[in-house]
Order: sequence, then C-alpha cells, then structure tokens
Amino acid sequence: MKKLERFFLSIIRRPVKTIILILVVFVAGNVITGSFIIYHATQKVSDKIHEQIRPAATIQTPVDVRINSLSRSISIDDSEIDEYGYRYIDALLEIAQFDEVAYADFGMLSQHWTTVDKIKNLSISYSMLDTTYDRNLFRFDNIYNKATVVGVYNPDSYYFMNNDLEIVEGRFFTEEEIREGKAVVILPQSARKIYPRENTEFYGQEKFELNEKIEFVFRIYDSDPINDSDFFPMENGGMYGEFTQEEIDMFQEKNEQSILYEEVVEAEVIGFYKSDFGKEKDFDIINNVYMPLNFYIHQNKKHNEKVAEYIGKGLVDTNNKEGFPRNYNFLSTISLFTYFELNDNSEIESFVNKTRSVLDEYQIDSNIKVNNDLYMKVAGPLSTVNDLSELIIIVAVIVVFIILSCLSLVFMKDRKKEIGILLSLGEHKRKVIMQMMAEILLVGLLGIAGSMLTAREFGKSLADSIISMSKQTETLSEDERKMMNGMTPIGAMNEYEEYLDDTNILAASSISVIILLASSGCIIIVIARMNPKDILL
Amino acid sequence: MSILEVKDIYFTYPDGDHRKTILNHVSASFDCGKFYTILGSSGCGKTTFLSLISALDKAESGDIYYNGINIKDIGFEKYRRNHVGIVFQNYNLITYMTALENVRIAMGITENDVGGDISSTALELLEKVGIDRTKADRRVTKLSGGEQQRVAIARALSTNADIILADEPTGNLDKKTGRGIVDIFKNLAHDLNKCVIVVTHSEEVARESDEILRLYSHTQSFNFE
Ligand SMILES: Nc1ncnc2c1ncn2[C@@H]1O[C@H](COP(=O)(O)OP(=O)(O)OP(=O)(O)O)[C@@H](O)[C@H]1O
Ligand SMILES: [Mg+2]
Repeated sequence: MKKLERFFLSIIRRPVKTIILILVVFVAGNVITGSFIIYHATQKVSDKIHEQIRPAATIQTPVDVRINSLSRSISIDDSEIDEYGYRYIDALLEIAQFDEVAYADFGMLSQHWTTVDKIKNLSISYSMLDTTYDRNLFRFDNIYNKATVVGVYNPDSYYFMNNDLEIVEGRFFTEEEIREGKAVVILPQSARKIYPRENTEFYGQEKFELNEKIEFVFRIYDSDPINDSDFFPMENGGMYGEFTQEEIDMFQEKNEQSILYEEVVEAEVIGFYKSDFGKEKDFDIINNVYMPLNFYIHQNKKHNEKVAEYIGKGLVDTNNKEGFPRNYNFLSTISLFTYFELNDNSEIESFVNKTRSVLDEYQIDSNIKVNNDLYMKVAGPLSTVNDLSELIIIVAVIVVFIILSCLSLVFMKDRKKEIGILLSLGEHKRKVIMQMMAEILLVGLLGIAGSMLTAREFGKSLADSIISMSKQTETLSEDERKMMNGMTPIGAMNEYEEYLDDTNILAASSISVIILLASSGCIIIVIARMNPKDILL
Repeated sequence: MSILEVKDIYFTYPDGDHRKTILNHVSASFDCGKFYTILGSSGCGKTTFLSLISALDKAESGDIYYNGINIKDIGFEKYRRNHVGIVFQNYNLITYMTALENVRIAMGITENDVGGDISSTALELLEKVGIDRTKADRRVTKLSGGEQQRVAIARALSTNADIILADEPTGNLDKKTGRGIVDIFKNLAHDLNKCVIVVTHSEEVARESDEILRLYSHTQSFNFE
C-alpha cells in the first residue's frame, strides 16, 4: 500500500474527526483572519487620523494673557517684559527640539513695530471711517496705526494653514529663509497693488508688488512724537479730533525734526495671503505681516539695544509713561500662538514634564495645555475596535494554539494504536510523523482556505458588533470638523472598510498556518516518545 | 546456523526504587521449519521475551542474532520491517481499514519482495488463512475475533518474514477456532519453512508444537524440554 493511499484512507475513513478538525480550523481561521484584517484596517485609519490630528500642546504665559487682554495698560516695565519675552522664545526653541515633538510652530508678534513709512499722506475722510471690519482693506493703518508683525518659526506653518491663510500670489517661506532669518515678508492681499479696491483713497496707503521692498522704520525721538493715529477722529482712537491738512503737515514736520535715531530695515515681499478666517473671528490675522521668527527677533533685539543705549545716555525721558505716544519704544515680544504636535498620546506625560522643567529653568510662568480630546473624539471608537481586535488576535492565537494542540493530541491518542501498529510493522518514525502532520495540515489547510473566503465578512460583522457596542454618538463642532477635513467618528468607523485588504487576508491566514504547524508539532514529540511495545503488548 | 539466536539476555523493569529482574541471562536458539511454544506462569516474562526478539524493546545486556547478524546491526526498525511478523493476542489491526488494506499496509512497509501484484497476493494469503474475498473487503471491526486473528496472521505472513511471533494468539478465541489458528501456525512452520514462536498458556497448544520452552519465574530463565 502506497503512503499516499494510507494517508487519504485515514482522512476519508474517519470523516467525523476530519470534519471536526476542518470546522475548528475554519472557525479559528475566521477569528484570526477576521480580527487581523480589522486590526489592520482600523490601524490604518487611526494612523491617518493620527496624521491629521496628533495630540497638541500650547504653552501660555501670564504675559501673553496680560498683554492680550489689557493691551494698553501694561503694568510691568517694558524692558522687563522684553527680557522675559526673549527667555520665553529661547525656552520655546528648546522645547521644539524634544523627541516627543512631531511638529512645532509658534509665532511672536509685536504691535509696536513702527509703521511702514510709506504711509505718509493721511487723507482722512471722516464719513468713511468705519470700525467694522472690511477685509478688502489693508489695515496697516488701523486704529493703532500699526501692522501686527508676526515672526514665524515653521516654514510649514500650522498656524498659517489652519487659519485658512492662503497664499494668493508668491510663496511661503523656505526652510532656509526661516532658519537664517532672511528679510522677507508675506503681506495680506489687500496690500497688493493689483488688488481691486473699492475705497482706494482710504488713508492713501501705498501698495506693494511681489519682490518689492517694504521698509520698516524704527525711530527714537527726543520728545514725544505725535503719532499718525493721533490724527484720527476721536471715536476711532484719535487723540485730538479733526485737523486740517496744514496742521497735519506741521505735526509731521515737527515729528521729523525731533528724530534722534532712525533705522530703516528693508524686507522683500515674497507673497500675499488672503484669509476668510478673520471675518467672524480674530480681526488681527488679516492685518498681520509675516516674517521669519529669527529676522523678527534679530530686529527686536537690535532696536531694544539701541533704546537702552539712548536711555543710558540720558537722551530720552524714561519717566514718560503717560500713555501713547512716547519718545521711545521697547519692542515687546508676545507669543501669538504656540503649537506643539506630539508624536503619540503616550508621550504626553513626558512632554509635559520636560517642558515644565525647561520653563522652570528659564523662569517662565507657564500654563501647558494639551489637547488630546479631538483625537480621542474622532479616533476613540475606532481605536476601541483596534484595541479589541488586537486583543482578539492575541487571545485567538493563544486559544487556537491550545485548542489545536489539544485536538492534535486527542486525535493522536485516538490513533496511538494505529501508530504503534505501523511502528511494529517496522515503519520509520519519521515517516509516521510526516504522515500524521500531513494529515492535520491538509485538513487544517482546507479549513483555512474556507476561512479565507468568509473571513472578510466575519471580520466586518465582528467590527460592526464592537462598533455598535461602543455606541459613539459624539459630534464635532464646526471648528473640529474643519480640523479633521470633514472626518467624523462615524465616518472614521466606516472608512476602515476601504482598508480591508486581501493581502492581509493572505498574511493573516499564514498566521493560522503557522499556528497549525506549531500545534501539530506536539505530534512529533508524542510519536518520537512512542514505544509500540507499551501500546500493543 | 539457527535463524534466531538469543544469547545471555538480561532484562529488568523499574519496580519502585530498585529494578526487578525479568529475564536473567536467558539464552535460546530457534530454527526455520519449526513450531515453538513458550510456556510459563503469568508474569514470568514471556511477553517481555517476545518483545525483545521482535525488536520492540531492547535488552539491557546480551545479544540477539538473526542469521548470525546482531539485530542491532540490522537496525530494529529494519529487522521488524523485513524479518519478523508479529501476531498479537488482541490482533492490533487498524480498525478503519478493511482486512485487505490491513495486509497491504504491511506489504507497503517491508522491503522484501512480496510478489508482483500486491492486492492479489494479499487476497491469496487471506484465502489461505480462511478469509474469503467478501470478508477481505470488510472493515476489520465487522469480523469475528477468530477472523481478525487470521487477518493478523495474514499480515504477519505478507512481508515474507522468516520468523513469525505470536503472543497468546488463541487467548481470546474459543477452543475450536483456536485449534484452527494453531493449525495455521503448524503449517507455516512445516509447509512454508517459517520459524514460528508462539507464547501460550495452553498445554494443548504446546502439545501441537515441535518444541516447548518453559520459562520459570524463580530462575527467570528457560528450561527447554
Ligand atoms: N512496563 C513494565 N514496567 C514494569 N514492570 C513490567 C512492565 N511490563 C511488564 N512488567 C512486569 O514484568 C513481569 C513480566 O511481564 P510479562 O508481560 O513479560 O509477563 P508474561 O509472562 O507475558 O505474563 P502473562 O502470561 O500474564 O502475559 C511482570 O511481573 C510484569 O508485572
Ligand atoms: Mg504476556
């Protein structure tokens, strides 16, 4: 009798055992493969969500809060704030280098940079002054007569993108420009020459073209200068009411005569942006002039040193604190925003600890806020499925291994006599082992092949039942939806189906094959230790 | 030269802390064409002796020679495959197979020449021991004890081994059936020139044999009559 015949006889003549084994392996294969593909699919979606929204942290200092809310009534000394601001920047720069940080972006702003000098001729039209926001106007000359200057840390600025600031002409900063603090700026599109304007004569600002130079003028006066904004009507923040053009010219002349020090810093206009964001929200965003953080810091420090020098020489009156304007300006550094994206939820704690110690080192009072909520909201239910399917795989692998091992052993015990007979007839142990394993493998492979056909459906119903158990009805706010590019918890849950990949079915089935092989391995031990004499005699 | 020579075999089983001697330097020799029976009280070591000469177990000392060659040198599996056929008291047939298949299994394992067409040779053998064609194609579980023992004998014969060993082959059978089986063994020795060694409790069976070996438990060695 040929080995092959022997082999098939034992499979066919013992149909109940064969069917039991096929069924067990079929079910096991479904559980393993099903949960494996679900695990993979949910993992992929989680990763995708992770990419879209990682846990993020912001760091706020009391100075930010104070200056933002009480912008006119700063009670601490300017130079103190200034020094504090630089320490703060240094701390942020250090924090940005942490391993936990996947992405860092922060911006420093100052509203105290002297106005762009191109804005010379004020032609005030009383009726047209309107405090309501008109986004078509380039408000370099808003009520404070200042543009807000923002130093940007990251060329791939989260802040820029996330506030729907979109480059309409030109480009964003390059990595090199950011790193080396090049003198380049991005202006709001309302500052574009070609931008269609309705109220062209409003304030008479000049407009810029791409690659043109914009001039920032830093000045120190020997006496209080009269600021441009002082000419505004009272209700718009002006100080003295209405003026004739002659009076204005006279004031300007007087101002010019009292200039002790003047420095003009040029920067190249590399782009224009537009934003819809400010419409409902932050007025300032569309009034910002963006520049590399290093350029910003460099100019700030340089200017402040000059101011300190003049104060040291006694050339300016340091006691002049009677509101605005004044004869000198320390340029304070206030963080506009800080945004640290972390690699992983698990790193939140170590990030917070390390950040706290750096901030302590720099003596910065801080308030670290980590926002993991959105990620959990969107990915939470999905990660439940992911975690559960991972657990199911692990448990299934162990349980299936044990069940199959026991089953092989039970079947082996059942066939002990047969094996003994074969051995007593002089058959090689090796061949008997191979026959037994081949039988289990063939039958098992039939079960696995069957499970490959049904695993996808099984996995889906498994996932769906986990999903229905987790009962997530969490909804997202408008902002959150925006941040997630429209991905919702439910949407995320459904998206996993797109990732149910047939190659994963194959990979998962090979896990089942390996378990089958491993569990049939106990046959080797049993047969190798078998002594036909004990069984037969 | 004897076909089978047992020289100075010593064998013990573990028995609590010490070991219990079962075969104490036993020697014997067996020839072709003869029907031997081994007698002895229960527990004296007959089955143990048979397991050693069928190479199902290994003696602690002493040697067994097949045609002058130590069976260790032949290799136990090979020796079982080609040179001995064993018949057990409880038949030891593969239950999910037919009588014919049980015989063909052994023929598939041996390296001896078993004749051209395996199936017809097997059927012939079965016929010879009293299993006709219809019974040959029946599952062995559907055969009587006597019939199963005949199948087991046919299987032992099928490999063309010179030595046929049987451990109480008639123990589970009634007297008449037992006599039929003993006749077969007798014929195997006398007509087919096999060396047939049968362990039995039955003096009646022993009387049919050419030589009787008595194994005494007090000496743990043979006494040949
Ligand atoms: N595996 C074993 N381990 C320990 N002792 C054993 C083992 N097998 C047999 N024995 C002991 O060895 C002795 C001889 O056993 P054996 O089976 O050879 O006797 P036997 O002559 O065939 O007896 P019976 O006529 O009852 O079949 C007995 O006392 C038995 O209890
Ligand atoms: Mg016995």
